[in-house]
Amino acid sequence: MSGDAIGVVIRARNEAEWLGSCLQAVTLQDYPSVEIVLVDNGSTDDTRAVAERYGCRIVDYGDREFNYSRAINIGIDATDAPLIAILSGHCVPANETWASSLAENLRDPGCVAVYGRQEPLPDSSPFDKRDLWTTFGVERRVQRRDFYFNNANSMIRRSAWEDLPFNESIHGLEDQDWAKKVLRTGHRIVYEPRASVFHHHGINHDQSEERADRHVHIIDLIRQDLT
Amino acid sequence: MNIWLRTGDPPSGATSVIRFGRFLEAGGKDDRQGPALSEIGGVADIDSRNGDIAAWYVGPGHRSDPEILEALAGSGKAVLLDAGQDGDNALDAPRRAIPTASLVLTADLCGHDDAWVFQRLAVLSAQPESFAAIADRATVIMAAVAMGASDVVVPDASCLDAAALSRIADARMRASSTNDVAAVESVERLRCLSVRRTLAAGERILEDDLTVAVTDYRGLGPAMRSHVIGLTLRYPIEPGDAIHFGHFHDRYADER
Repeated sequence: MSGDAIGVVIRARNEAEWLGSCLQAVTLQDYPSVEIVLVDNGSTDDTRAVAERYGCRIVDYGDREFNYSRAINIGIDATDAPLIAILSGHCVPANETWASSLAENLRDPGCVAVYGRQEPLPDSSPFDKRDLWTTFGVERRVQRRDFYFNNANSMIRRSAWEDLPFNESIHGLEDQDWAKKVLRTGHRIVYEPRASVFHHHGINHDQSEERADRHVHIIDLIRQDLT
Repeated sequence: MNIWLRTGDPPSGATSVIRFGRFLEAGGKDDRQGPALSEIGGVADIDSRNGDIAAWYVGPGHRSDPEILEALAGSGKAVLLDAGQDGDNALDAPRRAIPTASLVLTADLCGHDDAWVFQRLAVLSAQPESFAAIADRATVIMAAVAMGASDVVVPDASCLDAAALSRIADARMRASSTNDVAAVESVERLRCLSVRRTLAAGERILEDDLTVAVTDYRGLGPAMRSHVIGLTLRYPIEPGDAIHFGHFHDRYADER
């Protein structure tokens, strides 16, 4: 299909194990114009070499303390593409229609963002399998109020990001914080199950209690519009 | 869908797609239950009467009252907010205060001509929140439901044609469900690459291993055949399985 160029922004730190599979899938998309920006947060493994092999533009995160929102904002700033796909370095698009399946939802001017399905791999942990299978269903959904959104596998309009960059005052769940704010402007978000990726580590990083505590705190702030 | 009654009993003829509930006006007069809330202490009465009803209506005079909005935000009940015609800024305060899941934008369509009614419904249906019509005519109520209203506020229950309303609400629900099912089926009918024999993790895919099967939407399309030949499997694959990118190491993995 033809359409606006897509800039794929990938955040990475020591992702050499999965990044090659991820980039192989991204470079074989049937979408005609895809640029890849890798935001590297001080990787010490082969991450940068893998990215170079696949022709990525590599942007250094810098020395500041890591912040998910800032990493995405840096990556988007490095591309002029009107459509921005945001993908985890350890997520592998299932097939060649991943990018076009996301992008076709953004033909609707009322839709500013779309996120896709995430599925476990055979050797993902039982916790990750459970969480992914119960979170990402098979039916497409248009969200007008539900602010669930997931930047491990998403696409947004650059223009929407220019109006509202990801919130660097929170550490994690920047996707849901952003989604809640854009929904309030009357726009829609779509969950598109055809745009599927395999996410080996899952969405909750197994059962990290520290991460759960941090996320609960942030979600509570988002729910109360305090971010 | 929800039909909110201030007085009177739910009419007969409604099916299970319709739920009936009582509402009161926050900060306004309630002749049946006593003096206006604002006259007898305002927000304190929202707490005292909250258990009697399932929704609160907020008229244009109280849309920006921070005390009332705060009390309603904590009520746990649906908030039927008069959307007015003052532009989006008038809704900023309630949108900030009331949880989105509880907020229902509402237009009073009583006594207006059809063109005005449809104009208001068109505006409301474009908002991100659920919307409701306050209506005193059966045809206006049915129009609102057909245009997507999740709620109807009825000052006088006698104007309801519950059976007709149930048919419209049911048709809307079925249409929505049918579309979802069709979308799922259409993507699951795609043809994609599979294999002729069982392949173990670590094996390379050869041209003779590949076939095309009717499997699921995650699979690689037949046109991807040349790109997967020679790739090494990260996971085993069985005949009939859809091949996807997750099965493979990347093509340069052996060099690292």
